[in-house]
Amino acid sequence: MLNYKIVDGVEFHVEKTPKYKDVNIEVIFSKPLDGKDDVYYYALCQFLEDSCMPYDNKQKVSNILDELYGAKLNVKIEKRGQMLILRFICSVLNGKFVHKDLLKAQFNLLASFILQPKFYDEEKGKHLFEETKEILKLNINTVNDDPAIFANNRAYEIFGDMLQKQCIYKFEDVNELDYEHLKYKYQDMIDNMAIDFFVVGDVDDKQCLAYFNEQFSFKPRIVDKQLVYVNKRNNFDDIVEYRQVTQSNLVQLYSCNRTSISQDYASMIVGNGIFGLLPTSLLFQEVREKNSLCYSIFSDYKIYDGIIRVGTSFDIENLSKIKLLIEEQLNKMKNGEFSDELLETTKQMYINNYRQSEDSIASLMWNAFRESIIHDNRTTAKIIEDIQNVTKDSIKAAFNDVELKLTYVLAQKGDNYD
Amino acid sequence: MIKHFNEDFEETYYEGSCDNGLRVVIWHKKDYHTSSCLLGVPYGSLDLNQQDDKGNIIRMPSGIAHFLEHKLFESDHSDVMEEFSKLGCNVNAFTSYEETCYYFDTSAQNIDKPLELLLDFVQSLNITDASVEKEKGIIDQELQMYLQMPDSRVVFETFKALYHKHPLRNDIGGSHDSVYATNRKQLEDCYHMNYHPQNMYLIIATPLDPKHLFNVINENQKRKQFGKFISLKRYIEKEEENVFKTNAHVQMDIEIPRVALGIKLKINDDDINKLIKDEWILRMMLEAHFSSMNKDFQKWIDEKKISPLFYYDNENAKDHSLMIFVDETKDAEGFVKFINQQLLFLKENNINKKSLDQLKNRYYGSVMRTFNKVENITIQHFRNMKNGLTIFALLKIIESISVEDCYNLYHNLNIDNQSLVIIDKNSEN
Repeated sequence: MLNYKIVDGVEFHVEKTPKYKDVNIEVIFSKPLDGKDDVYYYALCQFLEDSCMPYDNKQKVSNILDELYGAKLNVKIEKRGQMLILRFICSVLNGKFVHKDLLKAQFNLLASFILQPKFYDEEKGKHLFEETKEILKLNINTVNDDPAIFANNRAYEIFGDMLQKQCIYKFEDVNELDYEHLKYKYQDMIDNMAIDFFVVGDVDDKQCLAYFNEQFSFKPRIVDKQLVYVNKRNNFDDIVEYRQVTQSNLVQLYSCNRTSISQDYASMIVGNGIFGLLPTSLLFQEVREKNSLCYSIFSDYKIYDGIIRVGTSFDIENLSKIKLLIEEQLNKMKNGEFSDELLETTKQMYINNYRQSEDSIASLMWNAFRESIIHDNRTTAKIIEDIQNVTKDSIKAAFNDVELKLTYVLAQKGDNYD
Repeated sequence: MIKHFNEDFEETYYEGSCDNGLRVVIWHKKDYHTSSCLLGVPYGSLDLNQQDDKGNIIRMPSGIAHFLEHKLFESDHSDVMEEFSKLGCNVNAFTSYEETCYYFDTSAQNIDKPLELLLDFVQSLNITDASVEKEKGIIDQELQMYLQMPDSRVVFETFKALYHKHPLRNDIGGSHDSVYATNRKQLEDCYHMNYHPQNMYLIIATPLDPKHLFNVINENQKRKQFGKFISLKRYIEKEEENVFKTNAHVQMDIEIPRVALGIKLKINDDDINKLIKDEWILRMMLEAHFSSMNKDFQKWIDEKKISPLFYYDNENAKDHSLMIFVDETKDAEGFVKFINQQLLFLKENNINKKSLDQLKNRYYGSVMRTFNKVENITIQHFRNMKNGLTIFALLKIIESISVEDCYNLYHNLNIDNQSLVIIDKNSEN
């Protein structure tokens, strides 16, 4: 990927590839995740995605996107590790297929949505602000109505530390939103947040840069781009809450004292694959295949947080059995009680997945963004080499630091669970 | 194999078939690392009852296609998933109303072994009574999982309310009772009747040499024996024109009620091209009117006629045709009234040419975007191929749609057969 520094805190990256039929541009605004005013960033995404001054209603937005052959433009919020990220994602058909310069139009479109929000018209802005609040309320209800997502969110909230900051906003936060403060947050985003532009497609980097310079001008800024942290929770909690659901949900959070930047990160990744991420894993084989206790069970290694999350949905009468089986599988990991064949199979799976990620636009952009923060030059080839060097002993060593910090159960109301 | 090159899309694919009837298509994606292989059978949850050419009807429990998909991953000598993992491949499968698909993807530079493994595990069934019994608990948990998702539940409940007998009223995975009523013999019968090479499609998208891969497939198939292919048709009992229930109510622990208005339609045609064209006509008309393309869409949100989460869908197949409108609202009655007013308005006003052209532009881009991911190519090609089409032929059908076509289809459409489904916290019916 070609990298250009525009000014301090603003970078431009281009990956030229003939693979894709469209050109993908992603603009990432990032800042440290401090848990303050989070709801404003959710509101900004909704507000900025809906419309803008040049395309000031939904119909005009729809028309311009279709004029660009069904172009996509979305604004998303993400919280990863200790970073809050706002992503403008725009894909437009490569103009060579229709003999038009759609790239210039794509930069125009992005500039309209990023630089000309409806804040510039008080009446239109306030109208959209009210609609934004309604959508945020509907969205939080949708999250709460899905028991699995609700359980996960509750577990993060109870866990505290950075995971609590990664939770979605609360219903009451929406009522406290203030239009003037949202405007302030927008201006703060433009003036002070770190900005990374990524272009992926069959394009000329100089041409992209020229179109960027035609449309955008950002002030230099001092940025703090930190992705990785190690969680500080010391105590253990075992929490059960009840709802009228047909199936119970279990979320367990483990600290593992290893993150994406640890020397032996690859041991944790491969170990987690053996423990619970792949169909060959101990959790899947023991809990689902041998005991038929659930449809799905997984362990997810949150590499920027140093946390392993285990999740499953099940019938509440099997809770004790499931917890015991999970503990047994974890002990097998700590004692190295897994076959060499499973170790090699898991390594092979990860190597395959990393190679495949080179075909994914989202992975290409995320890896480049990660590299712009961590600067460890971790190429696909280097990751594959690190995975190949993982041994049973290195996994044992990594898993002996794994410690259960929270068990959260969202149980079926009305069932006898003690 | 026959080579096809589409100049507009800059895409190349090869087409051929084995002596036993297995149809093979290989898309050559030379810039990619990933190969994706899909083996599909046009046998889905709607095919639970089938009829042979003598008129005999074979009845199976609902969810049997999905049950079979689960059991095919079992082999008498090894774990299929583990075998694929050892070869560095991600393997998976899914069952829908119309089809069952088995697929893997990998970045391996040689896919001969996983390709043969895919063919071998789908083309043999090794199950025991015990293994069938063991699977029931897993499938039951899967069904429970979907039942507690209000957004998918409201759609499923609408199908149930619309149809008296049509298998669309069953969940794809069946029910707790139908899963526990399924036995080994039924699964084996079902498998032998439907998983014949003449009824299968293998679609690959890969950077690897297509001719070599076709040889690997051909050699694999030559080594296998299959029984005589018996052509079966989906058997659907005569369905009444009216709906099964005009109103249905489901209680769930949710904050905002989910409301769906289903409309049972009658757009019958034996010509598959006509069916597909009609489906797209209706889709384009609904999109032009019930989306932000319509200038009134913002007004409807402002006046709370609909919420920003409102959506619609439509489907048109040989044995069923429907429209569904879904929203989150406490005013179900107002929602129904509003949708009906708009459907009548659409009858009087039709779609205009500008909107139609705009949508054609959109779908052109969307079809083009299919080629960005090898996994999308295989599934899209399979779905078109079982209808005797290609992705490019589908695009031509869409391009051929005129304003007059829209008027002719929609103006005389009976939209009176409706079911309203409400999911909320209240226990009153």
